[in-house]
Amino acid sequence: MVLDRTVKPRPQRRRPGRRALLLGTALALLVAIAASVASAELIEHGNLFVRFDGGIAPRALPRRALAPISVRVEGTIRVPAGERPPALQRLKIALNRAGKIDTHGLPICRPGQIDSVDPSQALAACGRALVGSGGIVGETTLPNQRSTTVRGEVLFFNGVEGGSRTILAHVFETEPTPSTHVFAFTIHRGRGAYGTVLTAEIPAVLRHNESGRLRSIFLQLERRYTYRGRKRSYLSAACSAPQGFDLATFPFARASMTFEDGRMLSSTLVRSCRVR
Amino acid sequence: MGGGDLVEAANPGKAIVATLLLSAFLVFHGVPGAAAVAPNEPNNTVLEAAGPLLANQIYTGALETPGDRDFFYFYVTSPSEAQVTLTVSNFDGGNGEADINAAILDASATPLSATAYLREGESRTLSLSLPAQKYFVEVVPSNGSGHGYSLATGGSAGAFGPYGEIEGHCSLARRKLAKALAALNQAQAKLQRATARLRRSGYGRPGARREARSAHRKARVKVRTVRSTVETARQSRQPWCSIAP
Repeated sequence: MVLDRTVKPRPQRRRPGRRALLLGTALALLVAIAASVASAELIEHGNLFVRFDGGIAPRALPRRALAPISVRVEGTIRVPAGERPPALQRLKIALNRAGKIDTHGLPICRPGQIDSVDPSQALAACGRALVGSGGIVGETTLPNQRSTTVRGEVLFFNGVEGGSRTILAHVFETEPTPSTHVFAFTIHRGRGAYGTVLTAEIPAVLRHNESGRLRSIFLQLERRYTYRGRKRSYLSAACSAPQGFDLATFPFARASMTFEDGRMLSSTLVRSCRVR
Repeated sequence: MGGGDLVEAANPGKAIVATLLLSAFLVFHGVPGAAAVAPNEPNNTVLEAAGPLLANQIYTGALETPGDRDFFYFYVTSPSEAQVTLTVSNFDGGNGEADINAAILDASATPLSATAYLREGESRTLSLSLPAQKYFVEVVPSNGSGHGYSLATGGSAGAFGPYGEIEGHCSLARRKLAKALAALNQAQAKLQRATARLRRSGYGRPGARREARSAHRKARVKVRTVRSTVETARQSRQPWCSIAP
């Protein structure tokens, strides 16, 4: 994808005496931008806090040509100690509008192929359709027991639903008992700065099951493959910094979480890239 | 019912004389309400034991009736075993022959060391090496009643220590465990990410699989190491956090 950029003012010629001051200010600005774009976003609504983080790798990209990238997004739900967070109902990740998802020649995985298997078996059945992986972290809330952290593996496969592209999420938890859940992220085109929108309704079984509440989810989408002798990438981008600049900042993604009590928390992740 | 007076003497010599005089007076003259003024009564059962006895102090008491029993408690607070010495003295003053028995009991009230038939005017020392725990001292008449007695505490560092030291050890162990559990959570989170990376590495850029395997192996080793730290930290709570005040 060609990343939208925030255009910085073109430097002008100044008297030598003011040049040092200007340079110092510019350096300070760059440091401030670098610091701000590297940090996670924490947002709150009442007693509910959500921390979003993410980015692309590599950050060094060609100025014009598309290059393979991986996209990482994660969200962590927090509430004050002793309180239970509301169940997460919907997760939405809108990626920069010029983003390119390429599924040309990528095999399709059907839910029936992976709905009752562990990750190794899922990879054996649909490995060629893999487009990413990640994890979920939950907290058990069994009566009369101290709450414990449970972790689950998530695999993402290229899927199709009703003729539209989807990302199938295969969630495997080993605790308290081994269980598999499959749900889909729909992919549709958005408006404005974010052209690619991934939306998933979290299945009730994951929201309220015996393993407790979902506390965080992280995903990394990345897949390189060869189709008809040509190397391809599921996700691609370029770093379209203005001429004369090697660095560009851009609204990388807008992530939002909707909870069962109706609250929705959203945040924009601003990141930077460098021209290589 | 006896007058087990628990006196912590800053100056053992003076205190013992004063306490002896007071105890003897109360015991022999049977002043009404004397038992009520004794600060450690009732201490007739393990549950009512007086204490804690502290190191290098002299404590006095009296066994007023043939069926009277006096219990005291103390702590050993050192990580390694401490040499505990308890000198029991029978001060006489009872009705007729007035011998006493004394014993050191463990936390479940099982005798560990005992001395019997301490005659009037006789002193004997119980000495034993004990690990950190709560202990009891039981003093009973072997015959007769009205005995006045004293318990002189001593031993190596940690013997007859204050409960605060045990609390300190427990709190330190709890902090260590909390830190180890946080480290385990962090290591498991890293392993989870390393596993996710390993899953997709087979379909990524060349060399990714090898790097992902190496990272996964390191993450697994780290989890194993931290788990053993957690186990050590769990064990380090013992016996401190199970010693009742």
